[in-house]
Formats: sequence, C-alpha cells, structure tokens
Amino acid sequence: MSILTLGGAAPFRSYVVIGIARPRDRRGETISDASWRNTLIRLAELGFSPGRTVVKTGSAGPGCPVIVLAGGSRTAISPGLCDLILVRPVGNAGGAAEPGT
Amino acid sequence: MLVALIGQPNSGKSALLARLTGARVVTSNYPGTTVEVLRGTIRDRAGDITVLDTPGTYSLAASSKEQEVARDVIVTVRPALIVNVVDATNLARHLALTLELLTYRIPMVLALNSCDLLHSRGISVDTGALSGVLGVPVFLTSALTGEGVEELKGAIVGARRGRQAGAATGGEQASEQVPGPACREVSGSGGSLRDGAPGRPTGWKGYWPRDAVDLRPYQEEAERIAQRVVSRAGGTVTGDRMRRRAPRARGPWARAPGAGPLGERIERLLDVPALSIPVLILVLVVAWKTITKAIPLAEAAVRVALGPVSEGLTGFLRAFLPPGRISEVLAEAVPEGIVLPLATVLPAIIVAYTFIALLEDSGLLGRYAALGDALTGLLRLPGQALIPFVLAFGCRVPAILSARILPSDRSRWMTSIIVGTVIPCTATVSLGLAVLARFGGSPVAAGAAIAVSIAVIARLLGSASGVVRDPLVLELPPLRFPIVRNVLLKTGMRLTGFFDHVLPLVVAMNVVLRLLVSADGLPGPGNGFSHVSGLAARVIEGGLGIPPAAFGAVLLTMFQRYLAPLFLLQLQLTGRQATIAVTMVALGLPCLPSSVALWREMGPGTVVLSFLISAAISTGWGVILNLVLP
Repeated sequence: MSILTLGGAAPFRSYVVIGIARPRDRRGETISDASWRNTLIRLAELGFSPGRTVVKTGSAGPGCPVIVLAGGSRTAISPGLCDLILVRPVGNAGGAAEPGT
Repeated sequence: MLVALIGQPNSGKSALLARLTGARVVTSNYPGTTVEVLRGTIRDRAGDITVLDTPGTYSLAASSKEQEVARDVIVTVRPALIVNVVDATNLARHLALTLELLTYRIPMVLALNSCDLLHSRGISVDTGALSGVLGVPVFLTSALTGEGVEELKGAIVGARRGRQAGAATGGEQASEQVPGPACREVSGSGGSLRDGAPGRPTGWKGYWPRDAVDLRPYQEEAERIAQRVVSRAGGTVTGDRMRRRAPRARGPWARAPGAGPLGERIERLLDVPALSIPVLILVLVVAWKTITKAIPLAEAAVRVALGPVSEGLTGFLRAFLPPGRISEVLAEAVPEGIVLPLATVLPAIIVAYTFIALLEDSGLLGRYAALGDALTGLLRLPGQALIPFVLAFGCRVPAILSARILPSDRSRWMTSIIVGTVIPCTATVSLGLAVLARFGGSPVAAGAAIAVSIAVIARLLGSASGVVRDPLVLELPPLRFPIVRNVLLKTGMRLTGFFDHVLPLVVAMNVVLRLLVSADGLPGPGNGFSHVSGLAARVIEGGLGIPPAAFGAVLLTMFQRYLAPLFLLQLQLTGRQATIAVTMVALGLPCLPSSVALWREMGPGTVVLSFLISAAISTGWGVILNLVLP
C-alpha cells in the first residue's frame, strides 16, 4: 500500500485519507495543543476522516493553499498542513469504498 | 417558547430567521457570517415565540469560538424546539450534524433549505422517506424565495400549541406535536457515538488528540441516508457538489458535471492566483477610485441639494432662539453638523459598504481569505483573518466579533488587536481625506504609515506569542452572482446603523467646537489653549510638528475616531501638519465601541494593551513624519 501526503498527491485523482502527522517543532516554535485539536476537528468535520475520499484539484500556487474536494464541498488547506495529511490512492489494497458508490 | 435555528455554516439560517420573523439580519455567502446568537420573534395569538439564530457549526465538537456559541445553545439553553437548517443541495454533508443533534433528545424539525436550487438542478428529495428515517418532520424551504416558510412557521406555532404540527402544516409526519426524536445509536467503522463520546478513529495513522471526536459514524450514516432519499434523472446523487466540481476525477467524481457550467468555470479560474489576485486588485482599485471620485462629486451635489434646507434650518433657529452667542453658534453648527456627514461621509460609506456587501454575497470574500493565506502568513495569521480586516473598513465592532471564526485564541487575540488599533473605518478615512484635501496633505504618506503599522504590529504580536501560526482549513463558499436584494438590504442596514450613531454625535460635536471657538477656548495660535500647555505645547510642536489643538484631535479618537477629523477641519493647518495629524488620528486610540467589543471578546488586558500600542504607534508616526516630511 503506497502512502503519500496530500501535498504530494496528484491533482484530480481520488485518494483515501488514512491519517495525519503532528507537525514537528520548527525553530523551537510549536502549534498549541488547543489550536491543533481545533484544526483536526475542523478537518474531520469537512470530510478529512480516515477512510473518506478526497480529491485535490491542484495547488493555487507556490505557498498558496491547496483546494481539495471533500465531504461535498471545496476546502482550502495550507500547504504545510497538506504535507501532514496521509493518503493513499483509491483502489490500493485495504482501500475503503468511496462514498457514494 | 424558545426555538433555535441550528445548522452548518452557509445553510441559510439567518435568511430563514428573517423570513420567519421579519428580523433585519445580515446574510452573506461565506462560512462564519453569524458569530453570535441573533433573535427574532414570531407573533402568535397564544403568545410570542422567540427564535434564536445561532452561528453555523459543522458539528457539536466546536472547533472555534463561534461554534462554541452554537453548541452552548443546545447544551446549556436547551431550546424547546430545534429547527435544523440543512442545505438540500448537499444533504450528505449536512445530515451528519442532524444525526448528532438527534442524540440530544430535543424536539426537532428539519428545514431542507435552498429547495429552489434543487428544482433548478432537477434533483428531488424524498422528504417522506427522510422524515421516516430520522423520525422528525421535514419541510422543503427556500429562504431566498420564501417557499415552504409559512409551512415551517405553522409547524413551529403548532408545536407550541401542542397540536398536530405535521398534519396541520403539511409536514410529513403527523403526531400530537413535533416529536422528540428517538435517540439514535449511530454506528460506523469508527465505532459508535452518542452524545459526542470521544474516540480515536480506527485505522487512523499518526496523531489524534485524546479529546477529539470521531465524526465518521455520523458522516457515513448521513451518506447512506442521502443515497436513499436523494435522486434525479441519471441516478442517486450523493456528494453531488463534489462530482460536479471534479469532472476529471476518476470513479464516481467523473459523473454528472451538473448545472451552472459558466459558474463552475469562473470558480475554477478564480482558484488560480494568476487570475484571482489581479481581479482582487481591480476590485480594490475600482472601490478606491470610486470613493475618491465620489466624495467631491457628492459633496458638491449634497451641498447644493441641502443648501435650502440648511438655510431654512439656520433661519428657523435664529427666529426661535433668543438672540445671543449660543443661538448664533447653534444656527451655524447644527445645519453644518447635518450637511457635513451627508456630504463627506455618506458617499464614501455607501461605496465601501456596497463593495464589502458584494464581496460577501458573491463568495469572493471567503475565496480571497483562502488566497490571502500566503499574505497573512507574513503576519503569522491564517487567511481567515482577512475577513475581519475587510469588515473593519466598514466598522470595527462587527469586525472584532467576526474574529471568532479564527481557530485559536492566539489568532483571535492578534486579529482583534490589529483591527482595534490600526485599521481605520471608512468614515474616518473619508473625513481624513477631506482634511488632507482641504489643507493639501499627502494621502500616500498616511496610507503607507497605516500599511507599515499593520505589518509591524502583527509581526511583533506574532513573535511575542511564540507559536507558529494556525494552519488554514476553510470551506470555500460557492461563487454566485450577488443577490441585489441582499446587497441593498445589507448596505441599508449598515448605513442606518451608522447614521443612527453618527448624526447626533457630529451635530453635538460641531456645536461644542463652535462654542469653544467663539469662547476663544480652542487651542491654537492666538487663542486660549496655549496657557494650558506651556511645556507640553512645545513638546508637541517640536516633536510632532503639529499644533497642540491637533494633538487634542488625536486624543478625541478614544470616543469616536471619525470625530477627530471634524476637529481638524476647524483648525488652520499646513499640508504637512494635516498629513501628520491625519496619520496620527487614523492610527489613534481605539474608539469607545471598539474598546467595549475588545473588552467583551478578549478581556481588559487586551484593551489596555491596545491603548498602549495605539499610543506608541500614533506618536511614533507623528515623530517619524515630522522628521521625514519636507
């Protein structure tokens, strides 16, 4: 099963979300627990839960948010966060069925 | 009886509140328009029914301040009836919240809103089946056209009267009253959930916080229900929006491009910064040009139009007041106080409010918030911060409240301080421009000072808080042509609200200033303020390059910032002095309403900090411009 990050995923292909990695400290700075909790909840609310299918429609540009179709709507996500979201292509072994199929 | 409208962001709750109760509320096309509970009343012979419009929430896990407000209404207030407002065009997503709400055992009706879009897209929803599955009455409504609203209102009234709500109003389920839904045990691959029990999703790789909730059971069940009840020619429609917007994707996404190809194409084009940023710049340039051109044109027109009224009022006051200094002052100051805001402020705020309303209603504001993420990243803020920044140009109080949409206390704190200190409202800008135009000052120098101040303050606050900025996760609202009625209503409401406060204040201020001038009490060359300030006057004149009276205007900003330029208009200033004074006023102390909002949202410490920052920035720019300007 090939696991990659949403940031590295090809546009206009369906991927199944399998998890998210916590950001590592950068120059001694950390994202607060409360903020990270809220970010994860918001991601889950918008359809970025394990087993859910998402489609990246492409990055808006270097350093710009990535637009992703998930849970029936378009969501803009920071590129840094996209690099933490773990996905695998739909159809790989162990894959969950796509919603709506 | 208390009824709560609960639903996901952008599902049309505020518009429905307006339809149900006639309440005048702001509706917009971006998630987070409503950040506090709004009230309306349904009048009925048996007694009034209070309807609460709550901020949109995706789930009851509450990942932001405004969502906590919605959750508290359910958990703490516990309304007698929930009207769950659901976007009928995206049933699979919105029903997840419905399932979560059902676990709270509060009587509920479901309003399938935006049904006008269902019709136009040829989609149908089996409301009978949906009502049967959920165990609550279901109504098709359109807050835009008013369709189904009377039936929904009938159900609400019927629920209070204890009559057969469903049967009496055409709802799908007949019962003695709106039923308390059966508490559903929702199961899915992530386990079972009731009342928001925490749990890490099975199969999840990597980090998952202990207290975060797995929403997957609700989402999966919602999709199953949507598959059963939504249909159209060509098959079942689950995740309809998603498929329409990813026609090149594999699998089910590749089906059914759907309606509105032009809108879809424009949406995709505006996702590309190479196009959307020039469009934004064009919008801003047009807005700025319109404001700067409109002020002199409108000023001349309004003065001509109101000339006879002004003269009539002057004559009336002179005729009916006993002769003397006070009557002379009133006869001049009252008409001027009425004409000045109408001539100078009104055109600017009409243009500014209209542009803000257009950005909000078209969905561009939410889109630019996402695209601006790279820009706000320089300020260590997520892109959502652009929404309060833009709203602050209208008025800073709602802008401070709208900071609730930000994901962390840190971002809210930073955004609130920036909004409260360095972003001037349109009224201040228009009056400041009038001062600069009268005395030949430099708008470029003042504008540059404000821009640099925003960057410096954000950077300092970001460094002080010592954590990386929140990542952006923002649902993009669908792009649409602005609804003229919405734009006019919103602009009208903001104008009314502004002038309710401004006109009396400006008239009163004008009278006070005239009295001071006539009593030789106004600071400046040749009148009496100089004796108050010996050393202070020399420090102000030497350090800031402005007369002490102009410094008085800067202090006046703590009451209302836009009153300060009025003060400046009464003085005799050079272009250089006007530039310095207007810059200091624009970056002056937080006004009283902003301070109250800051206190309420962030606490007294933030108010004190904002005053200190404003004082430092304003004085600092005074000194810098005094050194730099020729």
